[in-house]
Amino acid sequence: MVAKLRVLAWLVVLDGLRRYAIIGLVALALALEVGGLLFVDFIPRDIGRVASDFILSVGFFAGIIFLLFHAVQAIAWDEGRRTSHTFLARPITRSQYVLGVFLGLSLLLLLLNIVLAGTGYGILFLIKNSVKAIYFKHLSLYNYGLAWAGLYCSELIILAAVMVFSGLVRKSFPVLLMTVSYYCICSGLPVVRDAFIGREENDSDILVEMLRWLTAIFPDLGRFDFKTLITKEMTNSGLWQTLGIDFALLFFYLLISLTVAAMIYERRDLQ
Amino acid sequence: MKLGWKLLLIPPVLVIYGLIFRTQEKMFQGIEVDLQPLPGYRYILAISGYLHQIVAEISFVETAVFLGGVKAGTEPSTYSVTLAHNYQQITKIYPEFIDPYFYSQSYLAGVNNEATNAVNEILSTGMLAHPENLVLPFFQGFNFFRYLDEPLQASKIFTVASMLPNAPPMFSHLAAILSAEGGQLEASIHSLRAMIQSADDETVKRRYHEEMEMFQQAYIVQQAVWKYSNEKQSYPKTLDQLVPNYIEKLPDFGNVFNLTWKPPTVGLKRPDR
Repeated sequence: MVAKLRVLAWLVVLDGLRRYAIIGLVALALALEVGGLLFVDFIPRDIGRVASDFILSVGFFAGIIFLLFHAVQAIAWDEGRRTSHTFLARPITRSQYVLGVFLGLSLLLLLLNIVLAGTGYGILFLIKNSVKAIYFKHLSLYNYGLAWAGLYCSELIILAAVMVFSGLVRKSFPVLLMTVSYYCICSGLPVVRDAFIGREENDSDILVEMLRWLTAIFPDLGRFDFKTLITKEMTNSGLWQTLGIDFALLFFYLLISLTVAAMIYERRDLQ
Repeated sequence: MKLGWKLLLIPPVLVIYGLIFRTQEKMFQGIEVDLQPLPGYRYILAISGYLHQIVAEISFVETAVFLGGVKAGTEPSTYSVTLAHNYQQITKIYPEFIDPYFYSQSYLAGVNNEATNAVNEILSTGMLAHPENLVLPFFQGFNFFRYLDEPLQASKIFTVASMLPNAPPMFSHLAAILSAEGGQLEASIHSLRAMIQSADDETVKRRYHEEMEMFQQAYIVQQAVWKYSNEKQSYPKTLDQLVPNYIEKLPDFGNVFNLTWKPPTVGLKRPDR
């Protein structure tokens, strides 16, 4: 089974690497990152923080474009061109197909993030050395890696949602709309919960409980946002426990989402 | 498809376009750009998600560009409300971003009471996000003292700030001086006594000692006021009325302090220079 998954994932990766749109996206993202050298000129004091926010935001932007305009399309192409039929005519189960495509797209996303993270760190290093220490005090490589890891986790969650929606709905455009809606709910739900924060002490409040359990379905992506740590010297020890819980949540969320996606594909009529 | 004679139409069309463009440019040259108020911070947080920090930073850049383009002689009060609103939203979206606090202090503090109060509210957000920052509480205390004429509030701010790590001794001193200006002479005396104990420099100790003596003399005047009001069931209109029945003479502090009287409190204020 692992060999089949590996082969399918590799085919997805190779298909993605040869697409001009992906190459264009990488080029655009790299150009935007370099543009960070100019953007920080508008900032008088907090140059380190703004520069690292800019780099990570470009990475997020590239990741979202990849997910919405390649990942969604890649699965739709598979069905439109009947590629999936070819795969599934071989001894590969539908569940293996779902997992293989997810792994392939995850790997492509990882490659994209690695390229952007490497360039981004170079840009940040350049900015740090070109301004006074007071404006860019610390650049922690460890925390920088953690921030990108957090970004990658957010992207994996959205990719898992794309897999589920692709199983439910034919055609790429509705899947794209559903993914955008999913992202908006994930972003907006914490703000709504925050508005009810004074009422959370009252356990009998149905609305507050409902919002809490909705977060289990539409996770708070802000919990993987570690951008502010990049310009801090040390990570506090309490963060380890939080990170452990966050990554455990990520693992189980992906497990459940892919299981649901596999179940949908098992029952789906491909005609 | 042959264009033929139609090619000859292109130059006059281009000329007409250029003329209309120039006219439009002249029309818009004299129009001042207004600063647009930002939507509520909750809305921006919900919409922007992971990008909320960059949205806050771009909004800050927008205000900075606006401030750079304000024509000389423009009254700050014409844009201070919108500017204060925008900085409030930016700092609520991204409290860790330090630049809006400095800009709000620079461009809004002192415009009017409303703007200064808005700045203090913005600075409170910053002090929560940066609890060990010394500059933000200094700004807030300065605003209370200099622009809002609330020396006791300023004194409270400086008292709390003096307990921060690496806080300069100036904060405790300011707290004592402003407390005296607000009429809390006894508290100021206690503060100065503590500062004398903790100071290492003899020159500084001597100065604190001299100030403490002045505060003690002012406190004697305060006690005379209380005695006057107990007997007469009213406060004196001026401190001169206390002489000679309640106090031998009013103390003279030279150029160091002026004795102030805002019933029912006697205070000490640095003279205006």
